[in-house]
Amino acid sequence: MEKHFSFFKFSRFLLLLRKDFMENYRRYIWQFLFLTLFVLVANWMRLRFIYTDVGQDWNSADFYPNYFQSATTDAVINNAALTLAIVTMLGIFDLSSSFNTKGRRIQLLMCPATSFEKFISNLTLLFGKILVLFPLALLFEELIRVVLLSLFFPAKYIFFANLCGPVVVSDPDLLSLGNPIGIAILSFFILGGIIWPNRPVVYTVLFAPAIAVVTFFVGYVFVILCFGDIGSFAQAAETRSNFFFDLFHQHENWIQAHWISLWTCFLYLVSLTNVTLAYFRFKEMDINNRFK
Amino acid sequence: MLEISNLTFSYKPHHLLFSDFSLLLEKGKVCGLLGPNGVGKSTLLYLICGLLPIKKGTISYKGMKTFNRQPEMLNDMFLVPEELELPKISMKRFVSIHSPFYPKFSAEELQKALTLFEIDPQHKLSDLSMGQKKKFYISFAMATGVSLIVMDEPTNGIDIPGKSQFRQLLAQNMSEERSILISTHQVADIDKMLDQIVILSEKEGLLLNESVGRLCQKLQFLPEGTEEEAKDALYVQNSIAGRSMVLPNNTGDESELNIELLFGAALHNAERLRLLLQKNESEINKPE
Repeated sequence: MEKHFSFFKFSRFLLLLRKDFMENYRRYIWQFLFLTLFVLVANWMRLRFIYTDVGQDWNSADFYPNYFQSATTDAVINNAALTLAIVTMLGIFDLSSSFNTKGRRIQLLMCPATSFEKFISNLTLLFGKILVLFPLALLFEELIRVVLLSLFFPAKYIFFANLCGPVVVSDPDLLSLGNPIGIAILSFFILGGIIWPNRPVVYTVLFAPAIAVVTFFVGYVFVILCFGDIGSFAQAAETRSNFFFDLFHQHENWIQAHWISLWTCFLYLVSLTNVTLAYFRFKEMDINNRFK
Repeated sequence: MLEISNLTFSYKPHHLLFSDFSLLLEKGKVCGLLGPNGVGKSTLLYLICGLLPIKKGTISYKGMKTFNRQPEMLNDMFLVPEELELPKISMKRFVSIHSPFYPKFSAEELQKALTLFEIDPQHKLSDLSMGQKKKFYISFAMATGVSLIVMDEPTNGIDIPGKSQFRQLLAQNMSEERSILISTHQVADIDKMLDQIVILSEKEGLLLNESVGRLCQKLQFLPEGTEEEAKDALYVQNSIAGRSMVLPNNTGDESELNIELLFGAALHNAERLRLLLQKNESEINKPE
């Protein structure tokens, strides 16, 4: 049989994307509508009370900037956060929905493409959904909000919020950490989705504290084994006799100056590790769900 | 074409399903995989398709290890599982999505098969009954042009006319380049189609692996035998219709294969059946 380069072929990757989209596009439309409706109801309740409370004084010069505008901006920020969270969760469910039953696993595994192509196409769909569905849903929600509020409160000036510029975090350094933090969290859910395709979100959320407890316990045992007790460890840290402490203190200024970059690198490294682990777990998948 | 060498597999650590199991499937054959419930027929099919990891041994298809699930292997092999889970889309859309993955796919063959099964391709897959879904999926499998089709209980859920249509479709789509491996309990649905029979048992693993021609040459299947004949029989089945049996073929006349009788003989008189086939083999190989 003729041998080909089997790891990645773009045409097969496109066929996989097409297959997923054509099989599931109705579900994606329903997801979009459900998402919009859910967030709208949540924010409608909130805004309706605010607008009703404002009464006749809403247009006064000092009241508008201090109360009305900030309330609307808050609502839009809440909208964005809630929409992003729901889109991500839906994406995680979709990621594992192609292999969460035996029949679907057979379909997926027998599809003539490499595991890498299948994995990358699943990730592309996940990120695609977040990048497309999230802004679309947000725009749609904002449009409906303005239309509905204009109908219910015709005497008031209802305006579109600036969706591109709500200041979520005032510190720009912290703001720049948003992406790596988000991607790191998402990577944990991707790994969880591959390991537990039946209940990816629940198990991943439950597993995170378990990992924290285990890490704490291992750290505690390590400290006890190395230093005898916690007090000695603290003393060692105080006297800076340890190699790592020395290293840290030698470069303290540099670390403080570059802590954002260091955290960003660390978070991307964590994300990469999670996604790599997820790929190998996906590659070794068989029709028996070993972790259900 | 398909070679299984010294396969060892188990779901649980101390309960081996296959131990040192070997099998060869040549191209151009229809092979029936038979065995009692729980013996591992479906598992063997999944192993062949690379859907389960093997503990020891190798399974290779045209020189490729099946668990690697290379696209070049997957686009030349098709599995029809016992239970189907198909997307809720129309048949036309399913075909347009999945056919590009199979380079030898023929829309004409699909149309012929669907016409034979009397299925309207305009319908949605979710509107079809289980049997109709199976008919559609078998039709699609045949149209892919792959060299190996693996079927797990293909006639389960298919109506009576559908079973004869299935046999017709199988006969129409067989070629020298294509092999079909069928695991089934409904032996009457496929007995006339088989070229090779593989019988599995829980204790011995591979109980029998013979061509139908050779079995008919070496065994005699009697739909109604006498008490005298029954004394030498490998297996006797008593029913209202009479006493059917399988005997060593001492006459040289070939009788029609009866898989139920063969299955009974293989399960109840395995050692004698094996000796009989081995003896005949050694006689054949004896130099003049």
